[in-house]
Amino acid sequence: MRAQTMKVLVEFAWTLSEKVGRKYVWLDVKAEELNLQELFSRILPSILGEDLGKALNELFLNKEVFVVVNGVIAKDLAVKVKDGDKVFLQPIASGG
Amino acid sequence: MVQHKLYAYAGRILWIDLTSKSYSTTDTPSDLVKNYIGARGFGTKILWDQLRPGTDPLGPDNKIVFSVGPLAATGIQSASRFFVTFKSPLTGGYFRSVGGGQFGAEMKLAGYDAIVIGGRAEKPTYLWIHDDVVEFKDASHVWGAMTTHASEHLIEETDCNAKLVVIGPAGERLVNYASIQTNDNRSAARGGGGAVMGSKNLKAVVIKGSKKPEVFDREELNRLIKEQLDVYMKNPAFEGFRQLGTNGIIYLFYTLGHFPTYNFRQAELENVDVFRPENLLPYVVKRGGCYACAMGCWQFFRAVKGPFAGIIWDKPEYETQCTLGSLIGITQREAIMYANMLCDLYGLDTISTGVTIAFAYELYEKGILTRREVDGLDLRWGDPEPVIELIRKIALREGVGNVLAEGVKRAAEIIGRGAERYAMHVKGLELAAYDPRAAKAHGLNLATSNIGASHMYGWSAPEIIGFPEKVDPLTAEGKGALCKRLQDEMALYEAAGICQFPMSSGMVPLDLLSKMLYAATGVEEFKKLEYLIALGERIVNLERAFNVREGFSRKDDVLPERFLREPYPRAPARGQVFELDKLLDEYYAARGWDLKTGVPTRNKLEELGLKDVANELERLGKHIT
Repeated sequence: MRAQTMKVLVEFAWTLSEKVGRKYVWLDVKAEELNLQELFSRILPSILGEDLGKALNELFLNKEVFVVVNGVIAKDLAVKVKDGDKVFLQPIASGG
Repeated sequence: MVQHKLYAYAGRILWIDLTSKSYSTTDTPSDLVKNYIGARGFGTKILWDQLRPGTDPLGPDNKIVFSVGPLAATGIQSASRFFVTFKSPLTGGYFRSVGGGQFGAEMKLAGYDAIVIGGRAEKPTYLWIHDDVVEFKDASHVWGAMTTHASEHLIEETDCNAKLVVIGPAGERLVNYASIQTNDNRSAARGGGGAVMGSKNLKAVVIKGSKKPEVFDREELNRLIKEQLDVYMKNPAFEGFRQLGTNGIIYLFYTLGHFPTYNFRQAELENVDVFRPENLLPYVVKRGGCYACAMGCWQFFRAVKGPFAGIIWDKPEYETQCTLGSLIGITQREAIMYANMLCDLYGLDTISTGVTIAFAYELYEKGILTRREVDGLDLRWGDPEPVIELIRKIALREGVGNVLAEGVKRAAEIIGRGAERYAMHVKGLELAAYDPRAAKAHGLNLATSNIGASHMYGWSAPEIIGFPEKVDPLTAEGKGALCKRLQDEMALYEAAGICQFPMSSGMVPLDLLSKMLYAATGVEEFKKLEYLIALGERIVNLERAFNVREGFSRKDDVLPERFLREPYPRAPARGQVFELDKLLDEYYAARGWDLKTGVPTRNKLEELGLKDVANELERLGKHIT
């Protein structure tokens, strides 16, 4: 039986889009779901390059970046991402 | 009571009577200092003491109080905000509005912790306050002038280094949401302080001072300033503020379910990408900041295309990008910049102006207002041209603008025909750019705030940005206590005169604030965190008591029906409504207020040292349990 492929949209905003060199990337992952830990440590480095992937991972661990999954700020790296989900990344900002 | 030396404070309150053109000063009482710190705390206490219930907000008996905190002009960062307290013509209740720039520090340097202005001048007047001298000057030549034009004149004829607050044509014409502007493009915009000044024939207050405040422990304070700067630099939000201020969060907040659209009816906006931070950054041509604030969150935008190309103005903030933009379906950034500039020039609150115009657009769409009734304008969603015209009409109270100048609550009453269903306000104050269904403690703050639907009364950082702890924004449980805590904290920080931006991002932790207050003032009580937290709660309770005295109760702690009945239309809050009764019960319980009436109990008031307030409410026949 073939593993299911999931499609996830990852958006990069503001300075992250400059660092990454694009505003978004569509991921095709052979899995039914994955968590943010896998997204940052494995999937993104494989697409954006090892260094950039690691840098994003560190930004998240240092709470320097918002990671928003389907409109909800992710609590931790265990948050699940499924087919059709949208992950939005932006440097921390505030105000209102 | 023996008056001890006050460190960090100017030590004086200036009392001005415009009717008799007279003034006096009194020492800043030490019990006022200990119980209310300064700034918002001073304004609240003075307004409570000075106003009788039923005072006409636009009558000579209303007072307008300008106040600053003890940390103003001491070198502490982000601590020189000025607070304006008055009875609001929009809400009929207590109001505090807040402004930045240089005016607050200059008040302190001139030697005043608060300036209390009452009465009504016979003819247009401005006050020229330079240190101990107070002059009542004729303002006839700038009456009718735009805020910037008037500022230039008044600075030229007083002192080129003076600072001022000024009203525009909207304030003169008593537009209920007229703003107070400074000569450095800041606003104390909300609640109609500009109309209160206009009702007093007061065009401006120009101020210049030369007295540096003496602090209790300068060496320690300098060390704490360094510590504060260190916290700033290490905070991840710091650079975001410097780069783009509140424009850094528009797209993010849209993603999180805020940044409402089409008069709060929808949550979707076509072309919302124009508000992505990387798409806004190229507009920045100049930066700036308030007195002694390393954060420097001012950015000036330059319009680059279309009919407004070439204008350079202070950027529309997050709120304004929504109220003059998405709420009307507008995404043309240059048009929003221009509308924002017009509001500043006429002296209008951009939030209330935008919400009122969005209200008019929806009434027009529904056929409640006909084209003839809106002076022939075609109010089609997404079209900015009528917005530009309506701003002028509102400011000058011309045609339909005369009705809209009342604010949505009163305008709906005048229009009738079911218009109130589309009037988005709480207690008469137009709603800020958040959806209460997408963050329940924040919605509860909007419903219960003593000044109406202000986001700046208890901004729910834990729900909105997940700071300092992440809280599920959609659950109702625990939100009463959370809302209370946030409102009390905000009141405390504002009593110290601290800006909410660094505060809500964790750049001024409570223990640091406490140390700074003690090093500046030497007041022993300020060393105790629990004392400070109770002080914030005292202020909120006194504000509530002011409103109770005016007849407010649980019936006024409501949200527009739209949020109570219509499910939120998209992720992440799809299907959510605002559970008002449940949330209010929890909030009143957390506050120790009567569940049926929303009035503070005698026990609570006495616990906070407000026995005299409880007695006064009882004397007036208010039912307190």
